[in-house]
Amino acid sequence: MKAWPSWVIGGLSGLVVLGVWVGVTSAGLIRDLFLPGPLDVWDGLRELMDEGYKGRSLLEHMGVSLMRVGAGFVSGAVVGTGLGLAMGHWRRVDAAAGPFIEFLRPLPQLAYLVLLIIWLGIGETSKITMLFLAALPVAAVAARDGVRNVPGERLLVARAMGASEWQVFRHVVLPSALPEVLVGARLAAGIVYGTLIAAEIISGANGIGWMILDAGRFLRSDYVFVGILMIGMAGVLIDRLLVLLERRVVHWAGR
Amino acid sequence: MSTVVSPLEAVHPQRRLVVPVGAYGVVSVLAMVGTWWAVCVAGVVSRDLVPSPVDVLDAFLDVVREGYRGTTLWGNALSTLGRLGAGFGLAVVAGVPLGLWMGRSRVVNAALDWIVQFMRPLPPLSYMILLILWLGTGNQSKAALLFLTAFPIVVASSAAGVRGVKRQRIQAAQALGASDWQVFSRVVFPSALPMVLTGLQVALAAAFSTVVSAELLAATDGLGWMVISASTFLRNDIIMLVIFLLGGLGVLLAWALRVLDRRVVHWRGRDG
Repeated sequence: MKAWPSWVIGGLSGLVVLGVWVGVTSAGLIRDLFLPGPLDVWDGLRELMDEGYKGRSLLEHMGVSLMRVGAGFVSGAVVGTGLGLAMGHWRRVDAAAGPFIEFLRPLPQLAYLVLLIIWLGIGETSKITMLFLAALPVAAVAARDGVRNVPGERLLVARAMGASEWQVFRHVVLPSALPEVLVGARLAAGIVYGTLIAAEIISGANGIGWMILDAGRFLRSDYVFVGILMIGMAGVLIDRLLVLLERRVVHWAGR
Repeated sequence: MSTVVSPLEAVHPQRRLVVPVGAYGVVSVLAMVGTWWAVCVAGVVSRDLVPSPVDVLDAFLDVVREGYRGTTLWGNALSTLGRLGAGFGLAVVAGVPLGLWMGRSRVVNAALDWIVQFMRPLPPLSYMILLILWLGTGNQSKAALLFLTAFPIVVASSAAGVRGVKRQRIQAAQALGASDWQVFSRVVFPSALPMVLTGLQVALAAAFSTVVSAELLAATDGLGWMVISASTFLRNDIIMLVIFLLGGLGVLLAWALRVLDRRVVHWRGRDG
């Protein structure tokens, strides 16, 4: 068999999925309430583009959501990485902070969102705090493991050559741990992104997650589909951007 | 006589006072609980907003004895675990073979990879309403949500595991006359297994963090339902109690999979 390039096969399978979707919906096998056809979704997208959703344009909803994700991710990644580096460097810090990190990591974010809303209100603070808490333990664990995995010989060599503690950290530990720190940051971004809709469950009528939930309440499946497609594509895009950044910054990783 | 300090000792000088490192963990947890208790007792914050550790303990005993709104704590924990087990179990059963196949076959990979890549970053709550429309408000839609959360992670890591198998190993086996099946079962699968199991751990964590979302709409039992229900009655003591239970359960599940991992792929990290 002649080898077809991957993008042709991917495109073909995309066409098959689209074909089945069109076929099933236009043949009336499934009501459009349950599964809107591609044309319905396209119309929904144009409607949302022209008129917006409940007084705000589609891009505004998306922008508000991305800002929340950005604020939660950046604050969580910065604090988490700092804490993780300290945990990797000093075993006592690790022992003291470890239990909290391990506890926070698997906790369903919605469970503590409920408390945050009661404590901090329904504004931006509770949303961003939740995303911050989602990113923090992931970034911390990655940074800690990154520091721990620095080969001991490298530290010994640097010290033997008379490097100060700070120089060892700055020139040996940090560059060696950076690849893992960045992998952790990417993981954290994924988790924050996956929690976005939960953060917007109670919201002042803005954000793409709120739009999906609200449209679902009114059974506007076409709007739900538009929202899912937009969130999915933006998610893939963000992930790709972070991979590119990773390759730029730690071009030495794996070598 | 002059003291010669070896490089190793320079790195880890002998400490005079030896405090076991684990003690720091115990102390920090105790300090945290103590601060929490003191803040509540001193009346800095309202009791209704932040229940004290004693209140949470009372709530625990109360729920164990009397139950919560006609449900027992164990019943709720079991139904949550049941949904998690069904969703995650299905994701493993369906996702691992598919991922292995995608790793072996370029065509299958090209046909399906874009779907997996699209599903992976999708917040589970975004398609929750569709699942309820399609599968109803029962356990099916909840298990399906957890399945869809875990599935793309399992597939992607299994495929990556197969792709990472060293070419020389496969060629060596083939040169020794191994059949395709033998190459797969004796070389590819064991080499990919560590990555597969890592994927399972990540997937279980993701599914676990979605359990409350799964029980957000139209649930009548489960730990997630308890949190949501308690929040509508402002029962913060119950909310905190369930948060502690969920956190403990999460730590336990992660630990169980790590033990399994160490058992099954005891060669992890020692394979050249």
